Amino acid sequence: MMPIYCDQAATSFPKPKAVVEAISSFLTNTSGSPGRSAHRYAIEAGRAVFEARETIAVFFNCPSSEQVIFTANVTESLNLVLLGLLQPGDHVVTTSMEHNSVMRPLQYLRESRNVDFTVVSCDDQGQLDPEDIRRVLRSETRFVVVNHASNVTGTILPIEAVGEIKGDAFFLVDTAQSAGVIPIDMQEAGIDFLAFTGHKSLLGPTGIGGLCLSKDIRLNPLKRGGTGSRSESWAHPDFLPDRYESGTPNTLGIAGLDAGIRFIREQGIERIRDHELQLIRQMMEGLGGIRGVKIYGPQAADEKTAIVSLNIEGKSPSEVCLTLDRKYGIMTRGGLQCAPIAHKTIGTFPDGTVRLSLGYFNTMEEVDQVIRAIDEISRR
Amino acid sequence: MSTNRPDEHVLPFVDLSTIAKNMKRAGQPTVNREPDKLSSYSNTQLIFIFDSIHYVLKAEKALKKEDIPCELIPVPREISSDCGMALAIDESAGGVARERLAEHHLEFSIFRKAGKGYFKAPV
Repeated sequence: MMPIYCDQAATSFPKPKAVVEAISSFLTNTSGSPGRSAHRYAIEAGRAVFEARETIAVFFNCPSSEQVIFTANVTESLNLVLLGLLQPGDHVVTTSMEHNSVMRPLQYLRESRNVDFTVVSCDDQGQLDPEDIRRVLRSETRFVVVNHASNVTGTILPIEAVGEIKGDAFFLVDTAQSAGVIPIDMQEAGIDFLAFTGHKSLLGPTGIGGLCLSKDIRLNPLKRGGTGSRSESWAHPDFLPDRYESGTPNTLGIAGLDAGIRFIREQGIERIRDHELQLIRQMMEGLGGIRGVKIYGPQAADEKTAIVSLNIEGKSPSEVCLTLDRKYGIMTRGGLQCAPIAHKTIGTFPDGTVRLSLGYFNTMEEVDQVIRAIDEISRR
Repeated sequence: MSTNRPDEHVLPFVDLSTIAKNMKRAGQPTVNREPDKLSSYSNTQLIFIFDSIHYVLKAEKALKKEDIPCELIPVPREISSDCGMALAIDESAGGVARERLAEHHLEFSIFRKAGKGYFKAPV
């Protein structure tokens, strides 16, 4: 039994060879501390970090590479923005398809800083009407926060339309599920803060993420410490990118992420998306004919990322996931996928769904095997 | 962006080659990744100082793209106690380097090695 990895929305696997080589080469050849010395290994590490920023800036059309900030993951990026800017009395508008990485910081800020927020309801496919956002904007609305693609249903939300109607509020977009598979031009989409993670469709390793800033909007940093700059002073530097990055960075992760994005650029993001669309169309078609299988979210493949969220009548998601793994070697994720509000929106709270998520390295043969397995399970 | 650097002071003279020798003695190789266009230090040097390594590398990339010779060096102790890096540029290329870096919206301060020390030079 060949294992079949269908948990790409959690983290992508396998990684491109170039990513593995970039990390391995770093560990083998030049593992200096970037920006901390002027010896050649430190410079090599510094260059790796610098070049990765340049790659990312071009990839998302961020105006300048120092406006690319590295974090551990998209959760840290979202926390940096929300905790770093919101003040008592501020208001935030968000959607009912968000992940806990947005909802929990907002709930914390509501309780601790008297920040108010409004959740705009999406329909039962997870789709957002941007007009519903416009209706709840207030003069004190500081942020509109939107998940570009749902980690539960894959639904792609219309960020360009939201960018047009958000008014004076800052626009924060969570691209955890979309970056690397759907082209994003942050200036075109009117995004002020683009939060990304490196280990999903950007094909890098875990432990690396980041934030792209449209301009130098001053946030209160989450941490302060050594930056390799202004070492004589106890005052933390206020310039980018050092303002938000202290301590030795995840150079290995950064080098791997750079290689991941270069791989995407070489392959072509359209080609990657096309492949995933083919997989998901076949999967939807195959599963659609199985009695007792209910698929949630958009039925049209091009309205979503490569995710199929489903339930089998009379069976719990955890039971199905376990059988898929143990009997068929098919790895999926069951339950709420850290997004209870999205499950409330699509009507699957509190049990959740079985989430099959595919990626560039999945094959049509694997899709056929998954369909056969789900069919067998549904008959039991 | 303030630079917080010593200003207009005559600082004790230290030859860059002495710094290099001392670094070698300490087992720390000097930066010599590219062919060393400035290694002789025969002409007057301008030392371009930036806020962060990010800008140093951005400046280096911008200058190299236009074949303007420059070299990454540790920030001389006489200029700052920072642990960072600076760009050494031959004075003859100083004018064109200033223009290119300004075009890239890079902010920097410049020190000129002359006689017995480093002088802050106009940007």
